Amino acid sequence: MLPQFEAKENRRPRAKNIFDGLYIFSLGLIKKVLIADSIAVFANAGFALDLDHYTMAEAWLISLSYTFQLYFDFSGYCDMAIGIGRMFNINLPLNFNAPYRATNFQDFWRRWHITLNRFLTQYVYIPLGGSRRKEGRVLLNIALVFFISGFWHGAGWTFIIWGLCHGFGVIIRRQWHRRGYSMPSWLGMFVTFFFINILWVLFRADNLGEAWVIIRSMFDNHELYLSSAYTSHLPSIMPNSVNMLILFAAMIMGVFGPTAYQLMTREGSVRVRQVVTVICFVVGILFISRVVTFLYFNF
Amino acid sequence: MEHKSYRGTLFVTIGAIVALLAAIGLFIIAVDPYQQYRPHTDYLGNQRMEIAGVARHHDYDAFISGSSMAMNHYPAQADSLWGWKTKNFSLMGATDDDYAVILPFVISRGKVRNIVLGIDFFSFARQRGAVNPYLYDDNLWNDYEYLWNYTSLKNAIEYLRNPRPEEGLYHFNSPYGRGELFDSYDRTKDVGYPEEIFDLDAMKERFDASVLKAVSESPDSVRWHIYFPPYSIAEFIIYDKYGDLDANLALKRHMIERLSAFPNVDLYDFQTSPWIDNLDQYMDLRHHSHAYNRDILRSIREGRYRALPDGGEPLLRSLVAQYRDSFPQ
Repeated sequence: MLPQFEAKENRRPRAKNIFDGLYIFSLGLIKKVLIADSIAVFANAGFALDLDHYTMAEAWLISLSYTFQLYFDFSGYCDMAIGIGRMFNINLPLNFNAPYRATNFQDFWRRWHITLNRFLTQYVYIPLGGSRRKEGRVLLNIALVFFISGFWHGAGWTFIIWGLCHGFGVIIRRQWHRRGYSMPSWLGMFVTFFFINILWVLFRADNLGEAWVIIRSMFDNHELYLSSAYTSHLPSIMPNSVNMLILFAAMIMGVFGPTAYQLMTREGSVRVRQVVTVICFVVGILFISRVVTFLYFNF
Repeated sequence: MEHKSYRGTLFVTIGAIVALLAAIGLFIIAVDPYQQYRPHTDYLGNQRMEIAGVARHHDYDAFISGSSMAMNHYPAQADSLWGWKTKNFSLMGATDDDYAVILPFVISRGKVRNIVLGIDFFSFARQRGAVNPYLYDDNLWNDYEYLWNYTSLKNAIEYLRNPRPEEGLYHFNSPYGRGELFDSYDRTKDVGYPEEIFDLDAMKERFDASVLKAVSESPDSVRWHIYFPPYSIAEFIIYDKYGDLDANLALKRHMIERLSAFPNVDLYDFQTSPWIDNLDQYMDLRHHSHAYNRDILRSIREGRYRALPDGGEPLLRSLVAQYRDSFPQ
């Protein structure tokens, strides 16, 4: 990073870098203010209600909307940062690489918040001995890293248990791999996403009780409708049918679509990028003024 | 493409962004759905967005305010009863944050001489953001939130497609009757009001910081006609069931005590009227028929149902005890 700041040639503005930076910035802006903030309404309503019971449909809607809200929100901000950096001829490190395509927990952490993973590996895992110790110690190191990761996200039991569960997932994956087992990629992706999605409930909930109610409701009933108690808490900024469509599109894009970084680095029509930049930037500006909960306030 | 050849592309891109944003901004200024820059003879029909503009540019000397409980008042009736020129600045779901912004703003326009205000317990029991503050100031620099805003654009198109006349503006005509009241009770009896926290100390503070402050800072030339709306007796049964009745009645006594100190405030309490146990006049536990809206203004004009220092507590508690068995617990 630092050599980029010191390089004299980077002090001249470069039209291509400004254009590319504006392009990825616009994509990040849309991811945050249109996609993340639209699908947030379902999660926010669910977590604000704090009921003793949710229908199965509500519980899955709440968890899935938060899963994709978090991804588009966080990666949107990162894309904006990368875009601004690029405008100043600085290449910031990639932080998200299609994490919901991960086929196991270890793969997930190579794709999600990559810089945090790199930091914890370099400054915690490796100094503890990393993978060069006896297996029991390696497993303890993994658990410790994810305990610290959970604690880093927030000083609360929900974050700590979330972190430890992820550590457990990585440990399971390690043992699975060491025993030579394999799994079709599509199945690995499904299983990984299934558990990641459930664990995000812990991450978002105010307390373990609230998280348990939602997680339990995902499996303990077959009520496939949204109750009036829930729907009455959905704000009316945009029709819920539109928000639902955006959630569905976000799920497809989030799992199967190219990342903004891939779109930026891929060779493609400049004209298409121009149009996309203009539309995304203008639409993003129009959606900024919506009032949305700032996710990182709790950190 | 080399960097230099990207210059043209970059300038065209930035130019297109600026041009499109300018076009959108000019469109909003031209349509002005919230009447921020000039008055219109018709309305968007969204109180939260257009009260500020109407207060700024229209001609009036009185206004009615409150929550959805006051939305069905008829300004024309007030005009006829008192000879005022009345606007309805009620706001669905109004909270103390909203009153803290709206009341001083409207009074500061210097036009108003009379205010009819319905105050609700729940307005001081909810956590909710205030109306958009950039609409309620005289700072043009923050109008970018008005001009470049998806909601403004949507509302501008809606205003062009469907402008509303002032007659019946903000009215809602939900069906009312015994069936509606009992249905509402059934929906509420097991959950209560989860988003309303009837913490007495917090509610008193919110009332003092909003309505009381607006009253105390208003000129002596402004007369306040403040009333407690006639919720149905079932509403008080719900409060009693969830342990909130004591707090609400104590809040009411606090409001009466504080407001009574002002010579330019008249207080009315329709919760002690015989209307509240007429179960055929309610859309739900709180909202009454339009007939009661008319009765409220008429009663204020005639000086009936003046508030008592005890807030009618003995009568209310006795009615709750009398009607409790009529509503399944």
